[in-house]
Amino acid sequence: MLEVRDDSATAFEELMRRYQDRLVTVLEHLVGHREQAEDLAQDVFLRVYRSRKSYIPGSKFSTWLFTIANNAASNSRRSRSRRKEVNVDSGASLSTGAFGIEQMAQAASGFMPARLADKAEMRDIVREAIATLSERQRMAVLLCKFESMSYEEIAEAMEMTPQAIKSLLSRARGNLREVLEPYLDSGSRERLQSNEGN
Amino acid sequence: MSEPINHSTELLDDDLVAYLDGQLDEATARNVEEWLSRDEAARLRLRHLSKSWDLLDQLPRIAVDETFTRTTMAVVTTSVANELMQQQAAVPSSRRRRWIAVAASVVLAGLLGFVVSLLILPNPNEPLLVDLPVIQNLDQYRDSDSVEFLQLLKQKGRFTEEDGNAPE
Repeated sequence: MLEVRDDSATAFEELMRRYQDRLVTVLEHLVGHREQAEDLAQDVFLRVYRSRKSYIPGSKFSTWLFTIANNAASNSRRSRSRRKEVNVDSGASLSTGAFGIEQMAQAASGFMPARLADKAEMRDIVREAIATLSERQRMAVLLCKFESMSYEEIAEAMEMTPQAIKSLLSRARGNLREVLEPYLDSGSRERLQSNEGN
Repeated sequence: MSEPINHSTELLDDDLVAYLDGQLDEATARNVEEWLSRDEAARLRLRHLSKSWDLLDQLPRIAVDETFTRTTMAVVTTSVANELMQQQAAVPSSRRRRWIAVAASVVLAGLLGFVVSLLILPNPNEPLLVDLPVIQNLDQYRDSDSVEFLQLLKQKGRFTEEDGNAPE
C-alpha cells in the first residue's frame, strides 16, 4: 500500500488482485446481486486510489478497505432508495435466490418438502436467511465470517464501538439461528445427505 | 436440573456469540463456561448458534475474472486521467488570475507610495510660493537702495502679501 501511496500503478494492480475476490464476495452477499457487487467493488477501488495519500502507514489495509466498502455500500443504498429503484414485484426479498421469506416460513413450520433441501437449495436458504438481516447486521456477519475480523476491527470498519458490534452480531446470529433452526438439529444435514444419496 | 441463569437471554446471547467468536476476555469466558456446564438450555442454544453459523459456509466465495480486473484498472486510469486534464485546464486561468493579482498589487503599492510621499516629503516649491510676493516685485525693491525702508516694509507685512503692491 505504501507503494500505491507513492503513485505506483503496478502496485495498485497487485493490491487489487490480492483483495478483489474477498471484496466482491462480501459485497455480493451484502447487496445480493453479483453485477451490483462488482460495480460497487470498482467504486471502492477507485476510492482507495483517490484516497491513497490518506492511508496511514502501519494500519491494517483490509480494515481500511472494508471501511471504504461499508461507506460505499451505504451511499449506494441511500442513492438507490432516493431513486426509488426498488423493484415492487420482488416484494420484501432482497435476493435473487429460489426461495422467498414465505417459503422459509413454510420450511420453519415443517411444511417444506424434504426434497427441496439439497445442497444448492440449502445455499439459497442460507442466502435468504442472510437477506432477512438488516444491512448493518449483514455487514458485521460477513466481515466476521468471511474476513475473520475481530470485533474491534469490525467496529473500526463500520465506525461503531466494539460493544455495539457485539450486540449487533449477537442479534444477527440470533436471527440466523431462528431462521435456520429447522435445518439444524431437526436433521437438515441428515436430510441433505439422504437426498444426495437418492 | 439446571440452575436459573441470572442474565437475560439477550445478554447471555451476546456473551455466547462472543464466546464462539473467541472475543471474550479470560474471566468472562470462564463465566460462560460455568453457565454452560450448569445449564443444558444454554448448551443447546450455543450448539444452535454454532451450527447456524457453520451453515454460512454454504455461501460461495466469489472469484472474479480477468475482465473485472482490467475493467477496474481502466475505470481508475480513466478517472485519474480526467482529473489530471481538469487540473491542467484549470492552470491557465489560475495563472492569469495570479498575474492580475500581481499587477493590481503593483498599482496599489505605487498609489500608496505616492500618497505617503505627499504627506511625508517636503514640497520643493513651497519656499518659492512663500517668497512669491517678493519675487514679483524684486526689481522695485532693488531700486529702493535703502535697507531701513525694506525692513519697514517687512514689518508691515508687505513681503507676504500676494497682491504684489510694490512700493511707489
